[in-house]
Amino acid sequence: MVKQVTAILVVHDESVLAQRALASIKSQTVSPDRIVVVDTSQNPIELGTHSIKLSSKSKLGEIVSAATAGLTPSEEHWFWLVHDDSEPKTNSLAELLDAVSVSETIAQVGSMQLSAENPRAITQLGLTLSPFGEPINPINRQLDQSQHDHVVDSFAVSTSSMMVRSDVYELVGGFDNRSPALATDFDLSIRIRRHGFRVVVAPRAKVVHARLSLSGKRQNGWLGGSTKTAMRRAAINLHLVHDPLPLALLYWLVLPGITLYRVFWRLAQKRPGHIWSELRAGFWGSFTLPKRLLSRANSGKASFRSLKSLRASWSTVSTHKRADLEAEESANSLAAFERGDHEAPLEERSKSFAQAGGWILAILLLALSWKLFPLSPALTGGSAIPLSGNWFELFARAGASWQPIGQGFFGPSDPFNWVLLTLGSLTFWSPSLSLVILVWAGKALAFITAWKALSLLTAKAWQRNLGALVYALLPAFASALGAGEYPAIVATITVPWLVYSVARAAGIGRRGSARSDARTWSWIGLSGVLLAIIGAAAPVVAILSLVGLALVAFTKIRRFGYLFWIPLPLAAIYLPLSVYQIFVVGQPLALLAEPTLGITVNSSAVTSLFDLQNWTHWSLALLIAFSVGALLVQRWVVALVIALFGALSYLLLTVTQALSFPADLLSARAGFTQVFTTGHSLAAFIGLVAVALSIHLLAALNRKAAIRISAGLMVLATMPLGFAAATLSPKVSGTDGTVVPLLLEKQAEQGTDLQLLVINKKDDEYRVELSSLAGNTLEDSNLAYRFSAELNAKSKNYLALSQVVGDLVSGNGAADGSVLKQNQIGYLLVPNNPANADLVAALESSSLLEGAGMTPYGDLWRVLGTSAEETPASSHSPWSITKAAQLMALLGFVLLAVPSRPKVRKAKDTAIFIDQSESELDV
Amino acid sequence: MFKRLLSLALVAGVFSVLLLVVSIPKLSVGVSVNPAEIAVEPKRPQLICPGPVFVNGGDSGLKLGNFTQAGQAQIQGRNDQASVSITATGIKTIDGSLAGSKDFNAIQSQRASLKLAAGLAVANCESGSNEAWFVAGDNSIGREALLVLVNPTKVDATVSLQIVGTNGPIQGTGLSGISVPAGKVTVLPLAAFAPKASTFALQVSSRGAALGMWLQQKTIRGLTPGGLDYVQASPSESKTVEIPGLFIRSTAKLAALAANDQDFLDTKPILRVVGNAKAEATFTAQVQGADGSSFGTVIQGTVPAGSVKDFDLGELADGDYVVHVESSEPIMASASFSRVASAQPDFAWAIAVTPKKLDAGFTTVSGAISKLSVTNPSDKAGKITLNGRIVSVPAKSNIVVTLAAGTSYQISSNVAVSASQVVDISSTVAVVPVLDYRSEASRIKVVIR
Repeated sequence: MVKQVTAILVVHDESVLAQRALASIKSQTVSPDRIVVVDTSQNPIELGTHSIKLSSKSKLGEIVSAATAGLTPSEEHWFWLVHDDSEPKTNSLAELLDAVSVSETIAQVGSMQLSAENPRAITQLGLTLSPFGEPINPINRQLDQSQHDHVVDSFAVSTSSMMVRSDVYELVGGFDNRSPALATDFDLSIRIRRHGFRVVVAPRAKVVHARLSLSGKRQNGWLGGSTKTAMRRAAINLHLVHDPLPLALLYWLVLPGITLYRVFWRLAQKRPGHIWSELRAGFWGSFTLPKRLLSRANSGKASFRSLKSLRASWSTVSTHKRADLEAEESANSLAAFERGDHEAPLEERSKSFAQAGGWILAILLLALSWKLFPLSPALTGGSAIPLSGNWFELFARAGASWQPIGQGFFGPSDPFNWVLLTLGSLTFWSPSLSLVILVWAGKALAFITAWKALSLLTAKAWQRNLGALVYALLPAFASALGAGEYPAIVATITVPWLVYSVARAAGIGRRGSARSDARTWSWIGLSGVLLAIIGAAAPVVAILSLVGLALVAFTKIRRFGYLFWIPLPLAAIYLPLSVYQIFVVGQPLALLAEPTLGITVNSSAVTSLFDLQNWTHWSLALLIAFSVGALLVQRWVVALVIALFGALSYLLLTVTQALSFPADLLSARAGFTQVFTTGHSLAAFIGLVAVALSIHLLAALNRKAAIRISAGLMVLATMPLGFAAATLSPKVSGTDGTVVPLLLEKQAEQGTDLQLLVINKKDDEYRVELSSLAGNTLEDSNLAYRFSAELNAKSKNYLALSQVVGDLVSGNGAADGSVLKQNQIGYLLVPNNPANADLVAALESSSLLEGAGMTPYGDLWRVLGTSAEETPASSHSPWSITKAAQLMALLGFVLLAVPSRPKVRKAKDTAIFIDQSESELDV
Repeated sequence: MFKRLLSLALVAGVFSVLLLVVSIPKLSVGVSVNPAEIAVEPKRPQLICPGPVFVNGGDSGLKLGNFTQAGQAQIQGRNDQASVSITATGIKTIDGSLAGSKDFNAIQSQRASLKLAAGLAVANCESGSNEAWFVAGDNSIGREALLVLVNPTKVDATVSLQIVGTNGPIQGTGLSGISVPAGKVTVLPLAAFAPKASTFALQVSSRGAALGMWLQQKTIRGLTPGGLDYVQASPSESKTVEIPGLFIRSTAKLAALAANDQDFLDTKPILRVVGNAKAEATFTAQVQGADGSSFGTVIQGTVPAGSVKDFDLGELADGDYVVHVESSEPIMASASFSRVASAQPDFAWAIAVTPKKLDAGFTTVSGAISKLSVTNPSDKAGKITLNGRIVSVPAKSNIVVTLAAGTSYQISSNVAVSASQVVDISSTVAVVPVLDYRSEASRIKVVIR
């Protein structure tokens, strides 16, 4: 039976390409019966032939309708659709006709698409869907070696150079104008399939396709956004239109959840560029359901499931993704090579951490910390108090939400609580244990991170080992460890790691840049998380880090687009507290307050760095001498920048040492009203600068004798510090982690809103601590609460409670029991202290109280008329929108930071760009 | 190289400026919570008087193990504008009408001439406390130390004792969990815990009600009672200790008695020192006469940590003395001395008194010779005002002021002084410190976090 073919050339703003396409159509070995040109260009193009002018916003269905107006659909009449960026080979039409002659059930046939840049490379040979419904182009970037030479069934074919039977086209309703642009071809093919016809590809019908739309070379208006968005919209559309109705509705219902999941999945894939597309497409899918349901009409009787055999298998999907990744990495490598990012000298191959004996030294540092060996589940003393034994309490106090502190308030928690939550989660059954381990392993961890950071300056393992050892043994760090200053410990461990990760993200240092976009994003994610941790632990160090980051960003301006995102997690966790301190409390400088507890003595900047009365600290003079020497060797500019950064750090240290803040939990207990910072975080930062300069000097030395002498001196500097670390008497000591008597702990576990008043006499003042029955633990330390305490102190409730306390401690019998009950005070505790003897006597005489016994924590009384059963815990959601946003930002960056190992084949052609010194610590 | 040297100079200059020139003014960020000063209705003040002395077996001495109060004690004092004069046969509490007033004070005295107790027992009536140290006591043969614990409240108290001897803390059973029920008196013979110990000190800690606490010390030589005293609680340990009221009399007679009978050797004045610090205390005690009329002595000694030791004050001539002790470690101290008129002497423990600017009231015993011993340990000369009469107290010196019997006094000073009354009735002697009863403020500072 003779077939009639109407060639439809769709022209859209591409004059030159359209001329070629038309010429190609006209030069076919089998000429089409008629050629219809439809011009949707914004400015009509003159092709020397009649064309139908349509609006530039016309949908494909409208275009075909206009082109075939007046033509009678029949079994013999076929439409051949050609886009202006396509150039069919001369035998294309003949091959297409040949393919459809195989079977009468074939209603649509697609061509083999070849690359415009490399006409031997196949860019498409049929389309399919992944098991999850994602559009897949299964054959791409293959060289055409006639390996695909037979007509085969396909799930779908592209509209470019596609031929469709006119009657079937009419039967299925043609192109669905409601479909998003990139779903149109899939939708038509699926409808044809579901009406019982076949869709095939004819590999011998070849067309060179410039793929202007998919490569983003056309204006994206008709796609309704980026190609990524269009692809995701297509997938959503196909689910909603072709899945069975219950499944489609279920899909629509869970679409927001799926979108959220996919956002994080994209982060885990290190493809943050897809996030906006995912969100936009998800939003689109959620709000265009009626249109999708209308599109379900006339979609065919056969079930969508019956097409399963034509869909891509998991292995095909995996191969497809791997090929995409390879292509991306290859492109990135070439781009980096062109930029010169890989031109950083790799003078010598450096040893990995294990090869350099790093683990041995780390174990040695653990041994030096023998006095801090974790024998108890929690620490107390110095600045340390235990965390709550309940992980959920840690979670409740992280982020901006209801804070069950004091009588409870809605406000921001300390950003450091996110760090405590993370650490506590590592030993969720006993959250304090992670802090005990942290204090013990602190030196070893600082050694590891410093070792990595120093790899930016030197390849020599012994230099890295020595420098990292000095850093881990810095007196300021040792003091912080001994006193249980968790924020300073965390900051000291984290800062070198941040330096390293930012350098890797920016391509600074002797390691060069990351070898792929995904790896760069991984470094960005890690840098973001680390900066947030540092900011939470030591805000002043975060300021320095931001200054450093800005410096890096402007010197590596090409990386600005990446580095710009690093402060995002820091902003997420600090924004609520910033708003509170600036606009509610009116104290912007309060943002400089560290979450460290119990530091009441004001020290100078120098004493924060080292104790001049301790002879072991004098060995640091060698470090200073080395630092000075670094300014006289090669690459002195680098040394000068580092040294000036050190000077800036010292200036900030001096400034922060001059600031005092309202007393925290421990200081208030000790009777102080003001606290100062120890400056240990900044001191460690300055120490890192000195170590970096020293290693810079060592790395620049050429003469063996000079190197040997320098190394010897460095070892001499390290030994006294090691001795000091081993013999330091820690202020912290082990505890079982409880902070209140067992009776209260058990009642608190059952859930009650009852409060505990702890009264202590200090000089002529009575210091009262209000807490839940579980007592105040580390996560209850709250900067917002501290700085707003003065505001609370003016409240009627506060004054009424103060009056009751005054009456109780004076033993005058005038205390108003109703105030205690209104404030849900269930128990009073007077710590064991000779100064409290009169207090005990006064409380014993109160008719409002009954003795609950002597406990290891002091004398306990129960307030008569209250009980935990009658005061059950009220439900306050630990969540808020702000907290959810904070958590999502943090989790997003954590996912981004997690190193991914894509299944990329080791491409020989890109091996020259792979950094040979990546070690097992490389993340 | 020039550029490198220039960079070195730049860095050195910057650091020099930072180290030597830059000085950041101190800045307090945020507002610290000031304590809320709460006006509280004062607790109704109450003074507890121990009443007559306790004797084992009652007046007859036959009911052994049963401590009863024997004789009568006279209580004089002031309650607001009214005089207090009570004859007590048991413990007595006096409710005050004004809180913290220097016009609320009382003193009790008993000149006992009983079969088993003779001598002068004088004590200040006190508001209760939960903690007390007694630096006195002797449990050797013929000596009896009783701890008198009075609980006038409606709340029970549980008492723990710590006894420090010459060799450190004396361990034993029954030192803790001693019950002092509400409204009852508990008398504890310390011989049960430190038998035959002639030198010790005692710490009493009470949980629950605040108690009136006294140490009753008695001497019997053979079958003849020879001295009696109520000892009050000593102040807490300090590196400098002032003991006013060491008024030595009849030294010749006492020396003669001691020469004839060794049982009188304890009539010699001694200094008892408790080393309550963690390290051995080395001290110097200056026994200083009043107004230059008598010359004292200086002794030096050491007391091991956690122990107590007696030091002979030597052959002091009759005179009015105070003892000033300076120690390397915090210590507590008190002094004991005796007087005799006829055959049997009486003794008194002069306890340390913490120097403070006085604004207090006290009452003297009726029918007694009372003198006020005042010491000014400071470098500044000061004045005391005694019922309007101004008396100068030179720096690092002491004075004696004779008081009228049965009179209430108001005393104030412009320097920190220590003062004790020395009471003498027929050559029986007692020393009681001048107390500042105004310990309870009507405004209380409270900070809630």
